[in-house]
Amino acid sequence: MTNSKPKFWKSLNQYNQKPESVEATHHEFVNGVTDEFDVNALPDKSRRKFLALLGASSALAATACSDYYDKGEIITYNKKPETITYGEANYYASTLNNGAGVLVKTREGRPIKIDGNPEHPIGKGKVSAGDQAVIMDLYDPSRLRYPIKKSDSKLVLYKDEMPRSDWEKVDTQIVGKLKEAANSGKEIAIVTHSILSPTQNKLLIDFAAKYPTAKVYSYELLNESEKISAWFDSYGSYDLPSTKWDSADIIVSFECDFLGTEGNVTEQIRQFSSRRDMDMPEKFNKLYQVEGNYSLTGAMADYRLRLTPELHYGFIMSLASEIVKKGKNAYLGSDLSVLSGYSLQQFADQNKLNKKFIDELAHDILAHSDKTLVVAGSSMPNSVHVAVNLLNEVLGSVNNVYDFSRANKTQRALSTNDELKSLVNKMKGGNVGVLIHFDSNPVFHLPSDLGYKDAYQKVPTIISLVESANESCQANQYIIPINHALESWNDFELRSGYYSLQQPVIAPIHDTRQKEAALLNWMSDNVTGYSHDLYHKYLMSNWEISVYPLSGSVADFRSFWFAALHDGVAVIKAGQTEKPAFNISALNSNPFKFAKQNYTLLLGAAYYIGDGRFANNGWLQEVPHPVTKSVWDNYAMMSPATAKELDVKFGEDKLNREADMVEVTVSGRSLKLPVLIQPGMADNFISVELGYGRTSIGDVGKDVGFDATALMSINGGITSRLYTGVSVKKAEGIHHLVTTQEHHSLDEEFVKDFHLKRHIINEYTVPFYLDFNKKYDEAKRRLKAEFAGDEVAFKKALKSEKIHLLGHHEYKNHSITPDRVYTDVKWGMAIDLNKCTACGTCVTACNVENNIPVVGKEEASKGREMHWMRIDTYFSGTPEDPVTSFQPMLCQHCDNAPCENVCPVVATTHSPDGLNQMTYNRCVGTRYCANNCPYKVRRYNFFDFRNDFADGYYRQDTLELMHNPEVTVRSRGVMEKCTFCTQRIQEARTSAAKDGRKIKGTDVKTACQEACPASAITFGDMNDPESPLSKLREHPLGYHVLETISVKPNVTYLSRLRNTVTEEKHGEH
Amino acid sequence: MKRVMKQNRRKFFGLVGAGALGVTVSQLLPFKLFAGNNLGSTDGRKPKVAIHPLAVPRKKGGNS
Repeated sequence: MTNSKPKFWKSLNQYNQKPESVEATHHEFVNGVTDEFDVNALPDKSRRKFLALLGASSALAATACSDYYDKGEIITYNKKPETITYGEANYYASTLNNGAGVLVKTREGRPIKIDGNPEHPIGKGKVSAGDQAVIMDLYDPSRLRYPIKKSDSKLVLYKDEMPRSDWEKVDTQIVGKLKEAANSGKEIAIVTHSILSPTQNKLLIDFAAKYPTAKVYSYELLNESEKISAWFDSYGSYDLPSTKWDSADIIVSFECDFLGTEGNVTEQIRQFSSRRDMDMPEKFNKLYQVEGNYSLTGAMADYRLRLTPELHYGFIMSLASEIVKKGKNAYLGSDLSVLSGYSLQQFADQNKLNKKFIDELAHDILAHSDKTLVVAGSSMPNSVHVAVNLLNEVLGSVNNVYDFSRANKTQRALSTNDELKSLVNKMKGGNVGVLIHFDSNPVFHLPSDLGYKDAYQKVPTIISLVESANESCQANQYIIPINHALESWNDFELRSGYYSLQQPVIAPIHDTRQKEAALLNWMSDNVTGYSHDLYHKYLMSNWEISVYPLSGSVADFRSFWFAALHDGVAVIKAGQTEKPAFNISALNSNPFKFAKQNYTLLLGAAYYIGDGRFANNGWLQEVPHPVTKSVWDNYAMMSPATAKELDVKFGEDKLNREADMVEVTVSGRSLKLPVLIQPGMADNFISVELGYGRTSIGDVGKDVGFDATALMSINGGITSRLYTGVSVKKAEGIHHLVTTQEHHSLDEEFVKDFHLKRHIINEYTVPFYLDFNKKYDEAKRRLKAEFAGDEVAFKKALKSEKIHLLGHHEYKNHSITPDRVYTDVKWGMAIDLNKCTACGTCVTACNVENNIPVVGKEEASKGREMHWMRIDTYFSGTPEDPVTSFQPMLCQHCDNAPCENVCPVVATTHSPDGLNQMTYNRCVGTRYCANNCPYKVRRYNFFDFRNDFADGYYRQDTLELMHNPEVTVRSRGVMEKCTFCTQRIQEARTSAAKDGRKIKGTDVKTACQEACPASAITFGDMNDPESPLSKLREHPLGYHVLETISVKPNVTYLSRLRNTVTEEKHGEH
Repeated sequence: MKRVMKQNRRKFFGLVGAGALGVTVSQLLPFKLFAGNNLGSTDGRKPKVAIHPLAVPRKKGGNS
């Protein structure tokens, strides 16, 4: 054990050199993973226990190899549909319910993969991790399959309280109730999420015309109300312009996690990463993140300031004041007296901010004032957003960083708090005759002190139109099952002029209906005359009237419509829109009046499960949190100093999972939460993610995590998600929190300081690299002259020079065997760490493509998560102000693979095109290959996880439709790992053979490459010197992980360049 | 004289045989009978998979 702190560390235990943590890096498997399991420790009603006892009581098994599962009936087509060719996929453009443009891959009529639609102008072929995993929700067994009506009988058996009903009865009764309510003057309240669809909005207006007492209330747990209202106060419009993140040289973000959870993350990652091109280092953008939380954006920042949100307003105004003092003010309005009380120097002194850092920030925004983008997070109050608007005005960047011609559209404003309170009062007073939950869950999402849960039970007729039963269905009379997004028609206009179309790529799997069609049916005179194309016709007719005339298309409407369906989007030419004038008095209308008291609490968005809608999606629960690497839980995140003050601990047990509990209290509302200690958080600042703690959901998401909406208030604190004056104290009990951060750590202890020399992480600064480039070019010219004619010697000398200039040591790879020769295609991959933001979309895409099983929390705690790709996080610096480095890690497909030599049954071999192959049916599960793998990328099926998780949840009928038929579904006892998407390589080979040509490297895109929003992953043929991959392999910044051990990995990483003055310089408070 | 197995020994081998038969049967039967999870089709109908008749397909690369 070394006495000095390690340069790179993965957790506080490693930083503090805890013996258990150091010991853990020596072992392939987590403690406990190979322990004999104790039958008595299993829960009583466990299927495993039953089978274990049955097996123990028999002397021999009559059959050894039988593993027969009823896969259901396989029936070939009598009449094969024209569009289906066995073995070939079909593709359809569509849109998901959040407006993301997607391309859906189907096989034999079943959607199996979702990727971005390349024609979509916002996504441009990319979608988020959550969108990738939506495919699982289509086949979720907990989806409702038929309409349900509460039994009228008073004497009911428990399970028959909500029996199945039929559509005719339900429709007739509902229409009767609607008419009764309308005639008696009672309100028909429709509670919905935000309306993104113009046609859906029109439908609600038509519904209100048919039933005059109908009123729509829309809400969103994670909304931008403060930002939108601030924009209205500042500029007189509710339409926020779209942001051109790629136009900004400097981005200053105040508690805005734009690379993680806020806004259109996919687009933002793409635009941000496009300014991180290592071939144009002089054009690199620079990110300053000011936050109390430790977000993914903060982890990616070049400079990061820990600053509690109460101080952000003062900081922004001080920055604006500094700009004006330096004479760079671009604001043309005359009255800037609001800035007179602010001084950057004074602010830095008062709050003990690092002066040099503040000076650098001020210098950068002055030097790039018209290309500086200042943003604030959606949890920040109106006044902070107005201050941000003022700062952007003073900098003169508004016209450069915003696109006013493509505004973010609001089809219908969200209901205000007063409107929601009025609804609750009306329900309590018996003035609401019918309540319709239109694909919403207000009981879970709305703050409990609003009283919605008690009030809605007084409504005589409650109807929920939902995909799965939720917390808002408990008091219902009717539960109407609705189509999934992949079974539905709709349109979306997220941005003015971009009309996305949603089309069903599969006929409804169950007896469900489109929710809009259900409303249309209830508006019609013949309620029993429902047909599945009701809304389709309505949508088409709305497009003919409102979208087609705007398009300027010379084709007839039907051609225009089918072209739009084919493309998934219709782009209407943008009009010219002027930037409105800034209204300086907006600053006075809502002054900032919060001072820091006690603790500050931020209720943040969950990275993958959203507001809890996707809590039943096992893939999304199991993808590690990008910052904390936690799975299957939420917690109270806090800094090490805060944890010490509260005397709470996390992860100090053998399995690194025991978390002390704390009780967080906000104005009398309390919640007990486990603690997670996160380096980099501001002190006395607690962050908790929303969306967890669902109680009425399928088996996967039920009771996972803690419901943080219990801490919210309808009256808000600083905002509905940000509170000050919070009290936190240690509570009784321990909770098991699972993080994968220390799983599969690359062993460094054996060679002590060699982890520096091994260059697992290589990073430089932009100034260093610019200087390197000059010297490298000079060396190239000199060596070219010196070794004129001898290309081999020139390349060798140039490589030596490069290593020397980068400050590394040269070494020689020794091998006792001759190198393999690959004459044809040789596959390889390059990952650009400048662009990778660790968003986790690649991990999710790989899970979907390769049928990765969900293992559950208990198995994940033992390191048995099955992800073929993981994103390693390394910290450097101090726990108070860490600098974070991310590294996606997957099978390196080594030329001298150490796993291939040790397999006793030759189950892992090397292909002629450079792939490290796995033959699942040869594998007998010795796990020697995993033991030998230096990158820890091999995954072992300790169980047949589809049987094991939640008693066979993933063996149910609909979920078996989800599997990609091109990839083997692995059983218990076999090893698996990344295959470089060998199924896609085979598909490309077949395609090339059909075309009568040889396969090219660019014919294949792996799932992770296709999904990466930043385009950080390149895959291809390294034997083609002109291929993009070859160029990246030869790039000066290219390196391999653990190159010195001579395994010859074929994944090249491109070193990260930090846009800082020196390598050690980063945000300090 | 015909040898008859002792009672206890017969019982023992009988249990062994019953256990082996039980394991054989459990291996042959579909897993779903043992699954503790009771979500799934309760109306006896298998979920149907059919292409939507009005869906408009396209090539993966789109218009490029």
